[in-house]
Amino acid sequence: MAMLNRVLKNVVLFCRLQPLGALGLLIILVMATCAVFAEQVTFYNPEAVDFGAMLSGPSADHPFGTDSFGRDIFTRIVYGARTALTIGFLSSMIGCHIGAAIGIASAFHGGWIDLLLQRFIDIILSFPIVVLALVVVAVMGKTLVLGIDLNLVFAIAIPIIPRSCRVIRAATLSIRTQPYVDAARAGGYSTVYILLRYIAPNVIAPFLVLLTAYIAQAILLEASLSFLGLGVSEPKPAWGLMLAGDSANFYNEAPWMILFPGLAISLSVFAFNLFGDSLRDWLDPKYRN
Amino acid sequence: MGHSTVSQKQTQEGNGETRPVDGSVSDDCLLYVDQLRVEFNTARGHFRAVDGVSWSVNKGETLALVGESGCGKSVSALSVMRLLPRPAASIVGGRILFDGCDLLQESDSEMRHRRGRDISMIFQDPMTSLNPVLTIGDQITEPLRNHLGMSVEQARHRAVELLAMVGINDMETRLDQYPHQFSGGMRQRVMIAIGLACHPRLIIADEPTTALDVTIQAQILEMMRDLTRRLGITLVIITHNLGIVARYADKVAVMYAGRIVEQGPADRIFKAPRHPYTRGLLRSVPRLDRARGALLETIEGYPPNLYDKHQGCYFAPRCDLVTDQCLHKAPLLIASRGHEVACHLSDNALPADVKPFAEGAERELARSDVLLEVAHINKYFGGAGKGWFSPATALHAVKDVSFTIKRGETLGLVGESGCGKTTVGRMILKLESTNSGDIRFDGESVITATAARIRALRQRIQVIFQDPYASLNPRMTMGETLLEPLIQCLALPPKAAQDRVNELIDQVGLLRDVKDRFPHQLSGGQRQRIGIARALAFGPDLIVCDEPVSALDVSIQGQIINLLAKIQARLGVSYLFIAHDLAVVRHISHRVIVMYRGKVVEEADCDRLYEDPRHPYTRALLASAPVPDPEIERARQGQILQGEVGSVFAGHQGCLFANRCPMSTAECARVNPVLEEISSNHFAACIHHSMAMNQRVSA
Repeated sequence: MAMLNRVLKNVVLFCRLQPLGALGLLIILVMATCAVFAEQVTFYNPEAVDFGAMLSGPSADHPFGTDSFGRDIFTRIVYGARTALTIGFLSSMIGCHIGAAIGIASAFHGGWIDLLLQRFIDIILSFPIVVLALVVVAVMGKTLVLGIDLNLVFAIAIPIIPRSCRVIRAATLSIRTQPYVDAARAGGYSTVYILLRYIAPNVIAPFLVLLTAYIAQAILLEASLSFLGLGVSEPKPAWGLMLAGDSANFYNEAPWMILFPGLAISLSVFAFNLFGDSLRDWLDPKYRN
Repeated sequence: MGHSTVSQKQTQEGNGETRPVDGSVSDDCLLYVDQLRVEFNTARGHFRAVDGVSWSVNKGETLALVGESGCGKSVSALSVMRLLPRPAASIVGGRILFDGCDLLQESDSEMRHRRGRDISMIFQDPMTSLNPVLTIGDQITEPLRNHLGMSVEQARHRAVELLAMVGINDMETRLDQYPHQFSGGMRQRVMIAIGLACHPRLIIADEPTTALDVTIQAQILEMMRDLTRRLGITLVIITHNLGIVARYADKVAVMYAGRIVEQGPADRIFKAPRHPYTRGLLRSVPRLDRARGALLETIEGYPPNLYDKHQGCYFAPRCDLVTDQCLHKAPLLIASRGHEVACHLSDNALPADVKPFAEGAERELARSDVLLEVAHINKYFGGAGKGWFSPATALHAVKDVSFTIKRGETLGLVGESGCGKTTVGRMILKLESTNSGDIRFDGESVITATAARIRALRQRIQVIFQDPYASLNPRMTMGETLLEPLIQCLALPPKAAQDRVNELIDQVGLLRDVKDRFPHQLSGGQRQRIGIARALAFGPDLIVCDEPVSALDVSIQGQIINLLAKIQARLGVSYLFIAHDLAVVRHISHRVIVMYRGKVVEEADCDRLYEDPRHPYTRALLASAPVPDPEIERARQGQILQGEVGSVFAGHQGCLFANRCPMSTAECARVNPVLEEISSNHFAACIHHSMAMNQRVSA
């Protein structure tokens, strides 16, 4: 109970001190709720084709209009949030965390381990992000867990790893030489303890920025892969796919086909960035009061 | 745009302390800052950085603005240049008259013409104030071509003259080099050359030598004084170092918390300081020219918070002589016995005279067994004889250094930057590996100890760092910082650990509410106290103090030094006290080691070393350190070292000091001087050490 109270108090304080971050969080929460309770939010079937209502504009029946197969766009965005949020969030989390772990270890240890790891990272970096994801998807095929293609998550996470690794390594290099780390070493603490207690909390600022930025990137990457036919495939609803599909052919007659999925992507990216920035400030004792 | 000037009337209303200002300025006066008020707008409110400050400087005169960090000395000087950070800072009142023109009324373009031509500024850090991608020549000729419209050839010709003027040889080649090819002292010379380029009438120097070593500082100060005298340039120097003030200044203005507390001719301020703050400042610095006392007299407490409007005298909370009147009414700056003072106390209310320092009640060592034994340690940086580089490229940072520290003893380790003193400390802490030699702590070798033994040893050898902010984890509260060693290393139960934290906080003289604070919420002095408490938490026998007071303000330095001395008296810990400030080391140490370019050049008991220095380098160091007494400073001939410290690479032959030594002979370049005992317990590494003594006797 006391625990719950403290959490609640912190949430209220966060909303008061970081109103923009709270707005971002609210948008994320609304999207997540829609994704989870999609069946309750809309009564259309996202995959049901209705040739009677092809390319109809926004109306009371179809608030965001319909696509070239007569499917309700609002419904498809709501269901699409499932794919977008899980794939975007999961792959960015996985990619950034692995990258950060490698980056911290590499910078803290230094020497030949750093050299080897960084050359390996260079190699991965030399592949364009889409090409690398393509290769991974093509090699690994599909592994569906709860309707989510795990291999797609990995395919998107892998190109994120070296990018996150680079940034976190640079941050660690500057923190590693700080006297407070020397003080901890002189205190005889174990390396793992120093990494967790001294290094990790102090690289959290660039890490959070990376994490939220790559959620957005991952959603877009998922869209690109879907466009190339390697991500989510029709008729499953996915934001990227909705943008990519044949909406481009109809942008004159039915601009809503591009507009609303595009808005959904922008809004989620925006929300994650807002929240990430506020979280960074919130976690920094310097900005707290 | 930007800088608005408020009418004179409002200025005087805004600040209680109006002083008789008739607005007329004498012809001699070059710069007159009149009732200047500067505010910073921050998230926490208005910060009154400068609050009704007036000072003036006559043509050809040197004025020193003295005070601790945050007292507004730099802000008032930046206001003259109109270089305050915008939009955070704004000048909300006052006038700045330069040769009769109000600088605050001038347009931005008029002001741009003045900067560098009429008024130039020299900043503290020569490392960052030069553009690294332009040659020195480009940077010196820039103002000449801009302001004076010189052609490329003319400007270059003048640049050569300027470099010669500031004592840089080989001018033509030097002009085409980049800043990284210059040492710190050389860069500051270049900065001065740029400052002098257009023959300005006023130079503002903001802590010009603070980032430099003592011997280099002396060179630069000497040069600046000569140049400004010779060229008739007016100088405003901003500093916290009272010794520099004594050497330089004709006039002194002492600032505290955004106001001037005392100003007048330098001789008067030093001989008969009136304001309790000035008196405190002069007494809280350890001095080379006075007998050393057991404890320093300090100004307790911390400067006030400038966000709130205070009633009364800003210094009252820290003042020993505070009266009721001080708490309610702000004192006016009024003339008294030849200079101006802002203090309610009448002359006779002040204690008769500056008390002489308590005579050195020598701290006897209770026990004399050896705690730390350092034997012939060496440290190389870079390719030490392996890899693709030849051994000659390895930097020999620490060269065959040996010493011992007894229980309860303080060993002072003095030297200029890059002499290897910090590396020695880090090698003892095992933060740096040792290439050869042995370090034995309480009989046990630190070099060969197993990882488990090292962990145990680390609790007994602790460290205090120079930068108190950087040495605390910014993400941990002070309570967490102090609890950590107790729980992680000593495995105390939580209740006992909490009690111990309280005890530690009391021990270092802080209030217990610091436990919930983060490092950025504390002042420098408070942070350093936490740093000390953290070291004590381990219950160490030896603390390596790496420049523990050099980042602190003068009045705080004294507090920390006293605290360290008290802790030693109570707990019997030993200190390895690493510092560049000779006076501080003399005050706290039992024995002193002087290092130069990685080598120990002299070692002796503290008093003997300062009374009878035998190595020419030690003598030069002592001669270069400014003393806060204008009479001594002016009488000083200044046997100043020429040249600069270079890096030492492996395989160097002869005495390392030979190229700068005033006594060097041909033999010095060939013979490696060894550290030999020249009298009981006094070691020096100089083949001419007896000569040094004779010279001293004849002088």
